[in-house]
Amino acid sequence: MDPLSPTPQPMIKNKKSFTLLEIAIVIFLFSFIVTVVSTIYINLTNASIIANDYYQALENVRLGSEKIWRTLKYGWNFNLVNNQQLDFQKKDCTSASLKFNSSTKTLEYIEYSEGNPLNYQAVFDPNLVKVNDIIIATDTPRSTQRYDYFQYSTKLIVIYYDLEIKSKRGVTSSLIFEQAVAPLNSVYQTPRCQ
Amino acid sequence: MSIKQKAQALVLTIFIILVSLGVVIVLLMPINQQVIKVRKILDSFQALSNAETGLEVSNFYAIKGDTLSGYSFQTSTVPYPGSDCENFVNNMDRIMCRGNPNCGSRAEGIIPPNDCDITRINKDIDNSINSTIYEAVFKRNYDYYPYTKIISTGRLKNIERALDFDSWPF
Repeated sequence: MDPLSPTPQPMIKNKKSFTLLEIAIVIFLFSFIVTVVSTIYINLTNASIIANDYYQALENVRLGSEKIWRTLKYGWNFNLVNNQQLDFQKKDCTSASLKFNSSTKTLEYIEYSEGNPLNYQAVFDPNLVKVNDIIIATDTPRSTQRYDYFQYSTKLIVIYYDLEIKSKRGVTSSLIFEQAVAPLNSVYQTPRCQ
Repeated sequence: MSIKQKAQALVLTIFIILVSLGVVIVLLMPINQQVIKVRKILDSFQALSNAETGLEVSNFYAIKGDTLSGYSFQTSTVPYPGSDCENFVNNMDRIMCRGNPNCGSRAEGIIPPNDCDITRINKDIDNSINSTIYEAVFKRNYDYYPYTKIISTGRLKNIERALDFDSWPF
């Protein structure tokens, strides 16, 4: 052996370590599983938020339609201006109107004082509900009817709602239904508001 | 660490991660159910609203026999010799004609066979979502017979809401 040549070092073989390939495989598997889990979690969390938003919007629709029902139930002198506007008098004989505004996509409830709009309200919260279409239908009192009961007042009002409930996540769902109101005051033969 | 130990560590790690994944999904299942529930609530709300509207429209049609401007529906009236109709008419006659001499034999609560009519009122709301209203009205086949049984069914997708009402207008 040449005494000048360096002593050959024995190759170090650490049996306790992992190779690069093994670590890469573990990282890949871990990343894959974390991605799957986080995707499921995010989707379900989003779905939960959307469900809550829908529920809130539905409550708003219920509240709005309940208000319409209550107002029309005790209304007088209904006048169907067109199939998207109904003028009437409230219980206290002041004038009011239910009108679909196609430009703002809202259903408006307007109260009047001496012919001038006094109070304006959107029936449904525009942040929660978009109104695509409203169709209002009523029967027509006829003086030729056999009974007085049918001669003077509107007996039935049907409102067709085509709504879209909105979520903060930008997702929407359609809500299409009808609501019927039989005005209570129609039992009188003559209107109480002149 | 031997190759066998490494394999064991890898299998153990993957097993723990998969179990964690399963736990997360199971814990999130109630949220998923909540979403499905809200969908059903929306459908149910629409079906019930349609059924309620059908009830009012049927009642109006039964009393006034008239249509509404801007609201079209189809009607068809046929004899309805069913025992449920006869029982209803007999009961109403028996109750309403008690002590009324004008009722004649109706006060006894016995009607001849085939003395019932059923009027079916169909209203399509929106065919695109398969939403329909169906109403059945049956009564004694007199022109101005006031007591009417109304069954209104609102349907949306696979949800059905039925309302039953005995009309007694006067």
